[in-house]
Amino acid sequence: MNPVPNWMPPLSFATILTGVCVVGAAQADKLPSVIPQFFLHPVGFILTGLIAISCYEYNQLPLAVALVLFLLSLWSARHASVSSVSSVPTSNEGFQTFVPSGTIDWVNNEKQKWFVERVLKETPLGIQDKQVNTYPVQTESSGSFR
Amino acid sequence: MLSLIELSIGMVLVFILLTISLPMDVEYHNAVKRAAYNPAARLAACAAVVGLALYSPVLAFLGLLVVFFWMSDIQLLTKRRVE
Repeated sequence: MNPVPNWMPPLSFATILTGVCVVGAAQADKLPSVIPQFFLHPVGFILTGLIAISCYEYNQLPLAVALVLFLLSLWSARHASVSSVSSVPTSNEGFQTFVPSGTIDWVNNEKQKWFVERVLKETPLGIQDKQVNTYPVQTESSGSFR
Repeated sequence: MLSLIELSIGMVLVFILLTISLPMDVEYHNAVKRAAYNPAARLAACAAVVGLALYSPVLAFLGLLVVFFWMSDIQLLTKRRVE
């Protein structure tokens, strides 16, 4: 009698878990906040690290690497998002962390640099603020005479 | 004991690791760093590291370091929020 049910895919549990960890590591900044909250809690972090070490001991090296990569990606993404919310901006450089796709113009290598970029030796990755709205000076008396 | 192929791949990975965090004054770094925004590129890099682990633990560890710094660099760049 075959102990593996028919509905199971022809993959081991470790392989499936490795795939899930790889996808999770690649999409770490888009995961629901509950998942990083659990895995980055000291208990969850140490527990996952112990699982990774035991996987290494049981010759499941890909799963161990995937778990470590998943933890590091979560930590890195969380660190970036927390910094973007809590820190006081010290510079006008940088992009918003979560922006709709298509709102950043990527600077390709063929594009001729602006004068200020050449002078300041800047190599920007992209341009986010492409439009500047200016308005005429508004005074209290504009448009109405009392 | 590492074979010659493993050693050469390891040296290349260490070279990438050492140069990937340099200032972006070379166009090559600009393009490589920008690729970290692409989820498909990140997925491919993570899968490559796991695939490397099937062959050599040392190379997998080096690859893990490279991918981690590659993804962290672009997140460090974007962490400063424009108000």
